Amino acid sequence: MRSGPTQADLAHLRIAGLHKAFGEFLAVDGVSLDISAGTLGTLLGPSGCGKTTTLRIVAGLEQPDSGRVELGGSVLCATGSPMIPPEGRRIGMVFQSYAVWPHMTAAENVAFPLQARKVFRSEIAGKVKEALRLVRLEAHADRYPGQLSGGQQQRVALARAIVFEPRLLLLDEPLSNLDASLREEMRIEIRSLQQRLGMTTLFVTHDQDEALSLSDTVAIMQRGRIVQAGRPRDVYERPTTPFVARFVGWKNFLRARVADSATVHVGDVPLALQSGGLSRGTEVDLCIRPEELFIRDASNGSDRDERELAGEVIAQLYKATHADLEVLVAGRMLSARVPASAEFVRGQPIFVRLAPEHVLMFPADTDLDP
Amino acid sequence: MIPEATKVHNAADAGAFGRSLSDRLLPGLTRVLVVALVLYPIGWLVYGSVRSGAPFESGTLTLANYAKAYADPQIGRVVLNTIVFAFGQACGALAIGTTLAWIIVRTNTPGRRIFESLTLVLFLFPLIMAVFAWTMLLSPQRGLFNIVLMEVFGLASAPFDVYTMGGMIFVQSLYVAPIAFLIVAPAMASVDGNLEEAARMSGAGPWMVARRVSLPLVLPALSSAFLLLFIVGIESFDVPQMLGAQKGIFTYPTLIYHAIAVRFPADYGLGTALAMGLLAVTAVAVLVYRRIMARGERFETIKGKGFRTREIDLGNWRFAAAGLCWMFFVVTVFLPLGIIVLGSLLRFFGRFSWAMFSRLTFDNYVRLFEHPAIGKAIVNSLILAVFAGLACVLLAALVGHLTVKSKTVAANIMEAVAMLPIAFPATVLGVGMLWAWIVVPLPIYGTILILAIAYVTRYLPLALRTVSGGFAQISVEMDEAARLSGAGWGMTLRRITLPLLKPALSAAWLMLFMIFIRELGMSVLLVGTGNPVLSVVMFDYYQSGELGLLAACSVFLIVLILVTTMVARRWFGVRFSQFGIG
Ligand SMILES: Nc1ncnc2c1ncn2[C@@H]1O[C@H](COP(=O)(O)OP(=O)(O)O)[C@@H](O)[C@H]1O
Ligand SMILES: [Mg+2]
Repeated sequence: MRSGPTQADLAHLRIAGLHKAFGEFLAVDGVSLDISAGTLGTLLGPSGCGKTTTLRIVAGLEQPDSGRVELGGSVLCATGSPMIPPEGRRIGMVFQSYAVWPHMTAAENVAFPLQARKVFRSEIAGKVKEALRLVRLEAHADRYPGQLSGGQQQRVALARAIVFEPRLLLLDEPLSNLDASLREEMRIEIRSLQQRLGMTTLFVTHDQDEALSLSDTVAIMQRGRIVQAGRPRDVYERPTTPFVARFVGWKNFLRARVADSATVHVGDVPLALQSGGLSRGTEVDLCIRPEELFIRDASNGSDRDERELAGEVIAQLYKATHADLEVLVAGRMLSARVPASAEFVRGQPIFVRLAPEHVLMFPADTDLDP
Repeated sequence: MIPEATKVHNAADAGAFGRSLSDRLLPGLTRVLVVALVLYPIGWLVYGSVRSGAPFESGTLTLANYAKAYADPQIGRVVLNTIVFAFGQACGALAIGTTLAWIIVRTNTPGRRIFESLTLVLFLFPLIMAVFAWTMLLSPQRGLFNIVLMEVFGLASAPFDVYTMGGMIFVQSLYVAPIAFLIVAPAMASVDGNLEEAARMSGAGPWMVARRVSLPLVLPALSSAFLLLFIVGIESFDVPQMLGAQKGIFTYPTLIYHAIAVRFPADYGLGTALAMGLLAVTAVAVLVYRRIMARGERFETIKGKGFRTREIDLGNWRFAAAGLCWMFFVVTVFLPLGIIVLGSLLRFFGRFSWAMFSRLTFDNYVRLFEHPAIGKAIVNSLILAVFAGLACVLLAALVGHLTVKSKTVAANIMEAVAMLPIAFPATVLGVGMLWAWIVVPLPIYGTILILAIAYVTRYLPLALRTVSGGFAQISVEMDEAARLSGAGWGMTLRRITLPLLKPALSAAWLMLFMIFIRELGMSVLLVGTGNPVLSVVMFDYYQSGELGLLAACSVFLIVLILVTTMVARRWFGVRFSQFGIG
């Protein structure tokens, strides 16, 4: 076998202060990120926020204007020192478009990195077979990409990226071109493969579900910066900005004004809510997740609780396990998760309950107005 | 295996990745070559137009050439002829090509595959042969059609005369129609049926859908096809020379040819000053064309999932459409081929009669191969078609490699220069080459080398277009994936880029082979007396009325083209849709 890196020097990825501008436009604006050896880190952010550019800098396909990338203790690029070309980095990458070479069979595609790295011919066949087995494609080794489905092409790309036991695996939205059911399946497969091989992995996606379920660490990116990074659970439960909150699923936003330390006004309706140290009159955004918004029928004439707001039902959308209720409250559309058995009708008056322990409060961010 | 740390260190040392010697030398050499090929003859053309005397005589600077060329009252007539011809054949070819494209791409007419192949056969049909065949069909004296019509209807004189403006437009339209087809058909095929269905769902009837949705979507293709055909018409030499000039109907290129190669003594200054005018006209036309093309790109729609072309059910009309197509191809392909084969088997091709068939003979073929010049001409033409084609493809590949994925100023300039010859009519470049090489004491003028240089120069844009199509299909990520796999520049080129480019390169070569084997406009000006090429020999046979020999020669050329096409399709999998027309 190859005298590869030992467990000890297994590659820890350290990115520090990356900047990259295209003309006037700052695509990457001071990105720093650490991914421990053998773990999977995710860059999560909306399209155009600079994820791919960051990934390409790590791969060596793009030269940063400034900043530093280190992998397992060796410097891949740093301001002022020569950049190591991509082929010298031992990094595997799965491109968003897969980039499977159409003129080579699956096996030839996978063998290429080994040939390029001058692995002994006698070893190549075995390694290719092993890699194809890992992605469950051994039966299709001699097919050309044109004869493979999208999902299978993607497995070829994955096998090609891991066959030479790279120190780091980069995945650029690898699931975005697959249909929903396949996406779920590949997600699990990628994760189990990564854990089995103990490969440091940097995964890029714009899908929060994907990011939260796959990663050891998540970094949320906005306009070229990382705005929050941490364990998926922490990020999900304690987003530090409204942008992150919205991105990880705090879908419901209400604009309010601080009245006193225990009350805010939504429109002119008072709502019992601790406002921390915010001074009276401050505009705030209240965020709450659909599953933590409780709905109660208001048509029977009962009174409003001080933790409730009045609204009306706009629509009920049935899902497999529950229903999404769209309600209009204080001029905003909110979404609540209710049991599939619940029956609301359009126009029905309701109360929504905002339990203080489930509400996040941020100083109002005018950017976020829907 | 090398330990990890050393490997990284070495890679870091090789900071000048991809900067091998050839990597630094090649761009420079390519740039010099392209600039020399394109600008050198044009420089001479400009100089020659303000110089008295022939290239090999001493001369002085003068504007007399321009005065002579443009004060001549005849020039107005010639310009008018050129415009009428170019416009007429563009309209005709566009109508034919669009109809064919619509039937083949959008309807359920039976036999569409065959019609598509036949359209490409039409595309490969050498114009010299087409003209020759149509003189045998429509000449007032011995044209088969005329004779049949006169007998059937008891006419006193021939109803058709091919040696007229109408005849020129007719013949040319039939054989340049495939150019329109090659541009319009892909545009029609790329119209998403959903777009039309959406219009239907919005309440539009079939006509409204056609007018408001389908037509606007292919309009950019139609207008660029028309403009390209118009330019082809202005530059055209074969048909105007062989049909019009015979009877004193001159167009611009044939007037230039007349000044330099027909009239005695030749007036180089006059011809060159005329060529300058033609160059100015085509340069403007090409500029407009490229502007329109650039604007057309806006219309490209993103093809979502579920894209498909909607097939129109013609009902029983589909048999009428098939019949129309068959009639068209019989008239444009099979009838001309038949009459050429017949002509090649007759000692004299006079008035058509059934008695001819009892006098069939292989005499012409025997005479042809006894003819001293013909063997040499065939060898020369083959050498040119194969090797000048290869040189042109290689140069295009280099230029493409240096320009397609680079947006630097140097790359843009090189691409612009390499595309310039698209505005050089054959006759104009021929005159420029004449000036450029006649005085150079190298064995170029009078040899086939000057033809090779001329061919490569004029068709570089076409080759570049085809090759660029190939480059465009290779996503950058294909190369990047190779580099992340550990391959360097050389290995990436050898294992990824070139194999992926192979289809485009072979398509470009095949296209150039077909063009070079029959090139006439430049060859007729530049060919050396002892160094003939096939097309010029055929042209001479035509001028001197050696129709039997010409027919035999044509049959030989057909066989050559057929064999090459078949080989290219079988061995290299060349598809004609790759040709970078337009
Ligand atoms: N080569 C380039 N030239 C100019 N702009 C670029 C280039 N690559 C990316 N960009 C711009 O940088 C921004 C970030 O791009 P990218 O990293 O691809 O975003 P993401 O992958 O997060 O969608 C985008 O606005 C994009 O338009
Ligand atoms: Mg991206």
